[in-house]
Amino acid sequence: MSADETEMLGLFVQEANEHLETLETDLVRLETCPNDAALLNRLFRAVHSIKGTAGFFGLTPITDLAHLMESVMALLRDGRLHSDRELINLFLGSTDHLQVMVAAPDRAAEVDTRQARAALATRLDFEAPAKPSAGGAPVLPACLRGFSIDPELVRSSLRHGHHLYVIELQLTADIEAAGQTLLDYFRDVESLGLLIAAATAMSEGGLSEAVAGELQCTLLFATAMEPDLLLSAFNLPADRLTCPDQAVWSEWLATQPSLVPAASFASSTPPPPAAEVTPQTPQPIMSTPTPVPAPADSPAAGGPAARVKTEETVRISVSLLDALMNLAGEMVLGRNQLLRIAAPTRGGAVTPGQEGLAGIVQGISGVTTDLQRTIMRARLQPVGGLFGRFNRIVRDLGQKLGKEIELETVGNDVELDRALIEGLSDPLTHLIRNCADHGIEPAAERLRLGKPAAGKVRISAAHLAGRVQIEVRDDGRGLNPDLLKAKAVEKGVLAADQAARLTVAEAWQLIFAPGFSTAAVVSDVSGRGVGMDVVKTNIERLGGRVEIDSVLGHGTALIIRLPLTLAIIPALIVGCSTRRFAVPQLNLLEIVRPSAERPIERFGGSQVIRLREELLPVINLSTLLGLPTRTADEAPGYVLILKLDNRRFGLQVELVADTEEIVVKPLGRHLQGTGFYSGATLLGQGEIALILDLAGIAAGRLPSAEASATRALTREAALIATERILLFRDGSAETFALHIANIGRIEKIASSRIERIGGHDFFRQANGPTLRLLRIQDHLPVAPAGALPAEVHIIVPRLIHHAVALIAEQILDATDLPVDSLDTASLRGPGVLGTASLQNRLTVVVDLYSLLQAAGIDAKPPKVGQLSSLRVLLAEDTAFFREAVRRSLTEVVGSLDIAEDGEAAWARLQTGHYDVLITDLEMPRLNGFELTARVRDDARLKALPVIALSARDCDDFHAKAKAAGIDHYETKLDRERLCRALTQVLSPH
Amino acid sequence: MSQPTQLLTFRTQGRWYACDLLWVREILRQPSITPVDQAPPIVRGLIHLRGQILTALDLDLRLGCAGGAEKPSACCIVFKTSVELGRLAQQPESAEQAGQDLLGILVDEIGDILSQQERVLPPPPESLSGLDPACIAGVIPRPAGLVSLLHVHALLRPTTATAA
Repeated sequence: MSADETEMLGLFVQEANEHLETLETDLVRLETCPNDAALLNRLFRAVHSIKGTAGFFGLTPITDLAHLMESVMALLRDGRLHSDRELINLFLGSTDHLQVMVAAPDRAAEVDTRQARAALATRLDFEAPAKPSAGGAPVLPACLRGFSIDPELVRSSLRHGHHLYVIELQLTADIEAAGQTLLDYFRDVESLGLLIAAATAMSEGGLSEAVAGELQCTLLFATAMEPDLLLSAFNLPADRLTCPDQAVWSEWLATQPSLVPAASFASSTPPPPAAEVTPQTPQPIMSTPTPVPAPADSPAAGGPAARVKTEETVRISVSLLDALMNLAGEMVLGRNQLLRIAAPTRGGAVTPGQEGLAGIVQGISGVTTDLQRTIMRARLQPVGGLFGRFNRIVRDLGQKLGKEIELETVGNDVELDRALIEGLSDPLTHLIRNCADHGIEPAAERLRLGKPAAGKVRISAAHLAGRVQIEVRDDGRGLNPDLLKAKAVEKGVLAADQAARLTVAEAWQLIFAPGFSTAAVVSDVSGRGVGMDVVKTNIERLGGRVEIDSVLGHGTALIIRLPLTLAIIPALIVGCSTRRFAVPQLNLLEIVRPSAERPIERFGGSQVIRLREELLPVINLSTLLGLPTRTADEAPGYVLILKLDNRRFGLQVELVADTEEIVVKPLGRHLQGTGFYSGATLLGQGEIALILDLAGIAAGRLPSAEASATRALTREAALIATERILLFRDGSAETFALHIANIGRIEKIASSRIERIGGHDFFRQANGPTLRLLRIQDHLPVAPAGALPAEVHIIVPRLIHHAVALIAEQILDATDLPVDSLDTASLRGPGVLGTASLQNRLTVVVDLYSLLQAAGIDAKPPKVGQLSSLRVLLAEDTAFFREAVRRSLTEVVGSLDIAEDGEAAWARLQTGHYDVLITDLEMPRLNGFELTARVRDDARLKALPVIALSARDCDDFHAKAKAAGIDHYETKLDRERLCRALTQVLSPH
Repeated sequence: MSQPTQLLTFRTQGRWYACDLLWVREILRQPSITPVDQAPPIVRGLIHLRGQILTALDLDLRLGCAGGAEKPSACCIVFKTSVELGRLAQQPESAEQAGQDLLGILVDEIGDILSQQERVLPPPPESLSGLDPACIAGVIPRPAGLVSLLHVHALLRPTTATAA
């Protein structure tokens, strides 16, 4: 096989696999909506393309099976056959066969598909007598009677605008005359078109006699060529060619079982009338190209799906991406060193000969960061592909267990690192199996309980505060804590008195205990020796956590929280002695500084710290690692308050350096299993820091039980959507909070370097534009600030095209703000998003944009061509259009958040900050008109530009949109137009 | 035993050793080592190698001679990972046992590369040398003294004693 063909075959396998994947999902869906025309069309098309491409490669075993499937699907589509469970099972089984054959096309023949084919053929036969040809088949013209003709081939040829010719050949005379062998001749024939049928007129004397004389052969041949060209190609006189009339074919085909809807046939180009057979003036070959019309069944449902596919992509190996990632990491280190060397000395003097260097280094710095980020993004994939696989699993499980189970997937377009997606496959499969096996009750029991007969399993994915949350939820019987405890005692996992002391939440955690299975009967489905403890370990290995929520009798939810990527995590860099360590931000709640009022105290054999009327155990990192320790008097250091599962504890360190996005590097095999480190990373200057394995550190060193109140609180907090915010103070008593997403960087500067010109404060940066500094008190309704201390922090916002920064005297903490705890009513005014009670303090949450506006800085709207800083919210209920808009806009705009309906969009608008809202008009729960109306009624949001995206292009909608306050109306999916619209609504009127 | 064609020699604690050059990725002079607390004793620390992190092992401890961890080592011999070995046209002995992590050993001095066919004697009994027999492939008599030929794959394999 030539390299070209091998490559083509690779493409075939790739494409066929894509079709097979949709096929499986769609088949499962067919069960619930057997009459969905679009669905049936899609199924038919998928099988048809597999058949077509397999045929191209001569993969007969695949073609044969696909052909039968296609034929039966055509019957379904034309409503002449109805799908039932067996048929879908049959299709799924056949799909499995196809999968195996496609995976190894050269060994396709080894797959035994006889049973599947026989079963499919039965379906075809069953249908056939049901539709007898009325009054017998019309007689074909004499010239066609000798053939056995496949009606499908005739149909498809006609549909492609091909002409059908009957060619009479004198094998000996014609072929010998041309000086060719029979084989060559037929190869030439095949290259010109499709040989549909051939018939040889045998004289009675048999073959040998016939060869001695003249052997007459008739071909039924389909080609796009005009008759005169064909004749010259075959080197035949005109009388050997006949072209039966189109009407003859239509009549005959009408009596044959149709696999293609009549409509598509009718729309095809009719072949030219027979009269044209008479040779006319010779024409050059290229002057009469026969247009090949697109198959008529492709637009409508097929159009958009096809368009997504056509986005240009190439496949890259993951190892190549990893290598790129490593190189980018290297470049970051080099960049940092360069920055240090190029930085002007404190006095601001530039080394002679190095003028302009700062600017160049700055440029390289920016490119390096972008490079790293872009490579990171290339590793992300939507989870939809993973979720799609579960349709089949759930269906098969339901049948096997005799339960009715529906699967719902939400958030298919949420993107995750591909390593995470792979790592999630097994744990999620296991969780789903558990839902189906243990969670969902049999239909009869469900009905008795007043639940719908069909159980529901819902898998959802969502982005929350820089992490991904994946939830597997069922509406089954829920976890029974008493049963769990009894089982644990019986299995010897716990002693009876220990079990009695467990709280409800702790009892739930028992399902993760090794050697624990609650199904009374170990079924074929779950209980295969792989327990939930393995699920938990696997997820923790991915840097994630599993939480349980359950209501007895109403269902169970397993909530998995994962980092966005394995490769880069935000971490706090801390130090002990000369060592540097990284602590994942995911686990960090807050940092406290022990003092005389809040000392680290001894309690029994362990150390504790009092934090808001709660005692938390404290581990000293230096002691733990055997490093020289300083006495508490000379440097109490810091205590990191960490969260692990439902536990909280303190980790005492000597130094807190910085937060950094660290690139996680695995440890070598000699360092696995120390129980202290989960990886290593390189810091800005090239030093190595070890990443602390908090689970390992806590294991065996902390009491596992703690005040249940704490547990309840943390559990609750974990279930609520949060936003990451920075807490700071500026002179006055108020604590301010700013969304971290709005912050570009924070710098510490000497107050003496602040210069006052024309009533405004400025700070000249060493390399960069001069920043205008704002004091938050000057613009917010809070107490005025006093004089500045010797050193202050400046907070430089992100994505603002003005050189501004906020002054903060004191940076307090970074923490999670639960989305629903924001009080927008108590304190209002420009610059204020609301207030919240955080860490027992009333905090003013700052709205950066309106604050800047209040200070006379017009941060919005961005100028034309600056869409790249836009934060866009898209409300769209159709997954396909979400994906389409996402694809067309992600490259263009700064950030794109997606809400799945109007209500979700409204919720996001409450907390997030967006520059523009793009909304679909027809959505469930809250439609686009109502959403816009709400926006216009809201004091804070009323100026938000709104673009409507709707496939409905009618005057009525346009008028309604205008009335609702929609700024711009766009009919769907044109990137250029959409960008123009964005620029238009955002530029000053 | 098929004998490697090129051997790298190196010295630690006054003794000379050799290993198949095909295993060697590069040699670092005066590497800066970040210690890892609570790690197995044979792990001397981590070295930053152009964006990657390398685990540096103490050769003496691995071979079973005590001491040596305190004084600085001049060189680190970095070995190829399984991926790098896979790209070689010619595979060294037991290449399939290499891991994916970057590993190196710390030594005091790098010696010559022996390229001619050397006579390799079978190793003496363990009791005599005090060295871990699993790591010793043989002994090469040289005019300057004996050189121990090492099995790199065995050297790099974590032993039960090192697996903390």
